[in-house]
Order: sequence, then C-alpha cells, then structure tokens
Amino acid sequence: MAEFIPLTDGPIPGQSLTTEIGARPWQQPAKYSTVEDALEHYANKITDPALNESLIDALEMGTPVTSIAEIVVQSGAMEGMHTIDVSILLLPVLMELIAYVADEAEIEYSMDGSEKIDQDIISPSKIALAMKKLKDKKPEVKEDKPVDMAIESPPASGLMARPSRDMNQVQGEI
Amino acid sequence: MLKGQAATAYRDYMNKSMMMQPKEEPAKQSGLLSRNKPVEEDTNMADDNYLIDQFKILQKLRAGMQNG
Repeated sequence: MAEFIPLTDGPIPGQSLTTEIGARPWQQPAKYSTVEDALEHYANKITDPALNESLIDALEMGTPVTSIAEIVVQSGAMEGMHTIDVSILLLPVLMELIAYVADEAEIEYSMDGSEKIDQDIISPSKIALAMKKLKDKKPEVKEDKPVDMAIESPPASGLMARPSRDMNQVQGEI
Repeated sequence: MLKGQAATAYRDYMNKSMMMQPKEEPAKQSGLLSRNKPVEEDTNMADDNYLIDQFKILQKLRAGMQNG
C-alpha cells in the first residue's frame, strides 16, 4: 500500500541554499570519523541509567526499536557527530543495544512494529518491582521546630486595670 | 531522511552473523624443540568485522539474559 505523503510537508525547493555553505553542523567535518568512536559515543549514552529512562518509556509505549534507532542516528548526523554512511552502518548494532537495554529493564518491546504492545497489561514482575520500591522508600519525617509566637495581650483598659509602663513614666514625670 | 533502513540493515546483519564461519585459532608451535620465534599478535582495532563482532556480542548477552 502506498504511503500518503502530503505535498506541503517537505522543504521548499532551494531551501538548503538559503544559508552559507558550512553553516550547518552536517556540512562540517564529523566529530567521530570512525564507526568505533561513534558506537562508543552512543553506547555510553544508551547504557547510562541516568539518561536512558526516556528511551525505556518510549519502548514501553510501543515505539519500535527500528524507529528509535533511526531517530537517534539521524539526529547524530544532523548534529554533525558522524556522517550518514556511518549512521547506516551503526543501525543494527544500535538496535541490538537498545533491545539489550530493554531486556535488562524487563519491559516488552517491539523490534519492527509488527507486534503490538498492550500498554494496559502490566507484567507481574513490574508490579513486584514497584511494590519493592515502595517498601524500600522511607517516609520523610519532618522535624517540627517550635515557633516563637509573641503573645500579644490586649491592652488593659478599665478602672481596676494595672497601669501600663508608659503610664508609670508619665506619672513620674508629673 | 531514514525510512525503514534500520529493519533492512538489521535483517542483513542477522543473516551475515548466521553465515559467518567461526574464527580458527592458529595452532601454537611452542614445543621444546620448536625453532619458531614467538610473534606478537596484531591488535589492530580497525577490523573489517568490528560491527558484526559487536553485534554478535550483544546477541550473546541478550540470549544469556533471556535464558537466565
């Protein structure tokens, strides 16, 4: 089935010529010239638990591994990290790496989008993991500091009331 | 713009990794009477099969994880 591509969705003819040559990152020499360097750059980022949370979320939501790998290498090429041919060479290894990270996180994922993932079904292992996290989480105890409250007594007024300090001073002067 | 190249490349790598012959380790000739001088192995990183090797390592790791 032919995919419908809207005609107005593409760049305007000649748009790439509106900037000077070399102004775009992909028109500069690539930062990583070899496949080894580029793979090391991505491997460090993908396997870092502090950075791959959004990746795992995307996989969990049903985004295929193929699409994620394509987006990753395409953005790398656009940022001038490596050339397009390096990105094509990297694709299968990156896909395998992403699948490895997903396996490690114990989530269900689709390699090429053929298998649909039901987001409503939560695996028992995931529930157990969440419960363990909840149990391990210690409740924060807030220490109540005593607050100094200045108690203001209403000014004594009346015939039998004690004279205030100011009144004594006034009387002394008199 | 990449559109579906990843799936094709992945399939291609899968076929390649399945078809590849395992490396044959050269027989060591280091007997008492051997007259061969030991030669250091060439540790060149720029191997042609670097990506396939990495691919296979990751596959092995995944398989090991799935099998417990």
